[in-house]
Amino acid sequence: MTVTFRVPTYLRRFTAGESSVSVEPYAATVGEALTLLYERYPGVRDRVHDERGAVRLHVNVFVDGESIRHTGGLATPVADGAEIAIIPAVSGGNRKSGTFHTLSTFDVNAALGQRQNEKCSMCETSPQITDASRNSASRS
Amino acid sequence: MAHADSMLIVGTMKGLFLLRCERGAWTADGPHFPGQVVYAAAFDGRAGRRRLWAAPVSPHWGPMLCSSDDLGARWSEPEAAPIRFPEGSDLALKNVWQIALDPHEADTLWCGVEPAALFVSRDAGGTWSLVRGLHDHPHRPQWQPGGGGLCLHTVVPDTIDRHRIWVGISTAGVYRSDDGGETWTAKNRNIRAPFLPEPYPEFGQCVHKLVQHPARPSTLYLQHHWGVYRSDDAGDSWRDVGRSLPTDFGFPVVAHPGEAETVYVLPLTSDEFRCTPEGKLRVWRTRDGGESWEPLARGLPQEHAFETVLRDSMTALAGEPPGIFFGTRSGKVFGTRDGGDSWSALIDGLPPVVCVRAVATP
Repeated sequence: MTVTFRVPTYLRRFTAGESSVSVEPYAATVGEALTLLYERYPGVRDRVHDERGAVRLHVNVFVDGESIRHTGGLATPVADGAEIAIIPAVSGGNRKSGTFHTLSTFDVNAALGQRQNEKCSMCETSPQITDASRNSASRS
Repeated sequence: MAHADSMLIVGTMKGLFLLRCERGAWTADGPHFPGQVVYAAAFDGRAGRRRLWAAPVSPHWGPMLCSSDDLGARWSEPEAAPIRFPEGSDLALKNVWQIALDPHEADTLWCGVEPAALFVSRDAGGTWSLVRGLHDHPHRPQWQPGGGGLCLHTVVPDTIDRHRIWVGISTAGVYRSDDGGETWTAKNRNIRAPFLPEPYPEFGQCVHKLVQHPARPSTLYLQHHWGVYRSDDAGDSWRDVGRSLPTDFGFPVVAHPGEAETVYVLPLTSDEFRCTPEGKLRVWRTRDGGESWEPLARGLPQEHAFETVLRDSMTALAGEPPGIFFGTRSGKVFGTRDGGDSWSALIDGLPPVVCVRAVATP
């Protein structure tokens, strides 16, 4: 099977300029597909993950448009032909516990009236429904 | 005021700038790492090197440690993060707060990081390892984050004793090693901690900055969350020398490169209002080791100047004459080459300044 990564502009310096990279995972999960991506382009790994292996808080990974934060994280299954997009979260947000909780699609979805009762799987906060997220949602 | 012999490395909330004086006007080369926070920078001129170090943190892609051997024309972009907590620690690097050069070993550098830990490189920055002696200290589980996070923000390798090193941690206080980092002892005696039940605890103080006086290495100065302190016994004990300052709160403390009793601080109004008192930007100087302090205001704005200067945003440059420089959260940089008697505004309009380092033009 083959899946294709969409690589954001910043990370293309580590993918020889490639904006689209295809790999052939065996276990058909996002985690395995990412591992194959890192074997080919090792510079991407530490930008997407911290040293514990967690996807960085302000990096979003989508499989065919669905954020893996809501579909099983790195164990999210991928189907043949799937597109995996690595996208930096929308900047902005509020300070919480000394760090920025960046406006993400999670918050944007909340602003759109979706998933309002969910909590962020990364930091257990509730969605931030703000003018910024509403504006962002209206643009997306 | 002559500045043509110096370069300022200015870390900001939105990138790094290199400031140079050309024909009387300051220019800012940058931003390097645009959009990234740069709390730590250094210039390594040891062993024939001309290497800039910077620790940018991308809000998305995380922290990185980068270097340049051509004064910022090109920066290294390591594929793997060179500073990383070991597997099993369950810790992840958030920020590098300090890059310090070892005065005895030309290939040794130290980095203080958040979450609070110390890393060392013995090969000029090629590889880094966690200093286990501090990381495994029995106090560490009780260290608490300050407003900036739980950060090891100050690293002071002793200029005399090659085996001695101090670190400052918020909020844990001062720790000292006398064996090159193998073992560490809290060194906070007599430093008041009014935010804790015990006013003079063994550790837990919120040290903001620590400096070893270059002209009198037996003396250390410390800006605490409450008060300015001096130690004449390598940190074994401290005494409050800031009682005549207008406030006890501030971040930086900088020693004059050549005058053994001269030290500079920049008091802010209070813990709750972290701006310069009365809307006046004033540096305070002691020339008698803390017995008395005088405000330095000539050339600094004295109206509507509610400024904030952070712990690494003030620095000294050895030379003839020596210089003192500082940057503000409002993006201004000031300097003096007459010991502080008069100051010049060097540049305005930068992003919020969080780090200033001065080097003789390489």
